[in-house]
Amino acid sequence: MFGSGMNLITTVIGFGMSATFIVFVCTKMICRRIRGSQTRLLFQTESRIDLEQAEAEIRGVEPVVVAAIPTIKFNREAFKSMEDAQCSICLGEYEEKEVLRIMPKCAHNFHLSCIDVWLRKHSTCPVCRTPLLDSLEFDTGQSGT
Amino acid sequence: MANSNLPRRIIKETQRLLSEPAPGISASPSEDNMRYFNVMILGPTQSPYEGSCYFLLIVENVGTQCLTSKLSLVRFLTKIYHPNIDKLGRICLDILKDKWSPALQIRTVLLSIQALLSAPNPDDPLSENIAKHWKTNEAEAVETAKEWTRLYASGA
Repeated sequence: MFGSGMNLITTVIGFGMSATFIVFVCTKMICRRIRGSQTRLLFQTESRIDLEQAEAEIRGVEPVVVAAIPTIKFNREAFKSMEDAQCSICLGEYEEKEVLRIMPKCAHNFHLSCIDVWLRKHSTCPVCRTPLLDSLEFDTGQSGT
Repeated sequence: MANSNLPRRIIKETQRLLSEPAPGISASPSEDNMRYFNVMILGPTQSPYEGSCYFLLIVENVGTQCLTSKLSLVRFLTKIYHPNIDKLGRICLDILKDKWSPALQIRTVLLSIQALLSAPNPDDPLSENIAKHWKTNEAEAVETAKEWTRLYASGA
């Protein structure tokens, strides 16, 4: 009798705790969603006013995304066809074996160290302003924008 | 001296500005600090600023270390009557603000400023009064601009 009573109490407590946990998680998720939509709304209003690139410009690109952008080691033979093999950020000519980053959409290339500094705070190609993000990141099911 | 540690980019830009100057623009680095450029822009033909010459000061702030910042200062030293330039000589131009990109150079910025002299944009003003004048009575505003050109910008 005592044993089964103990069992019942354990079950009730266990049930109660898991219910609390589930409610907690749900609340968190709902809160986050509300906050998310508010921020998105804020950005939308802002862009409507004047800065269409506000969101992208302020945020820059996540380091993980930057790391996913293809790189290449400069090699004089392979780049022979290029008229002007220089980085348009530092204006330095590419040297043998220097690591370059190639922008995925527009194929503009820069020294890895130069472009990575820029991408910390911006998310467009410095030469043609093609946004990097919609080619890489926003295919993860964001439908709103 | 401040010149000893000059980024490669500034040296390259300076060389190019001196060796192949853009038409109507001359820019030369100041002798005591190579990051300061003294600029002279000729007023574009068929604009109220024709036949004049404007002096500007640019402080170049671009190096690989400070890539994310724009040219730190571009300012007209000569008085000018223009809706996008205020009485302190500050310029309202998107590429000097949120549209800055490290692929821009002093040369390209100066060409844009020259274009701004040819095509004032009173819809995005810096001097409210001048822009209002421009919108309500353009002919009269252009006359005032010409007058200011004669008074302040024809000396050199």
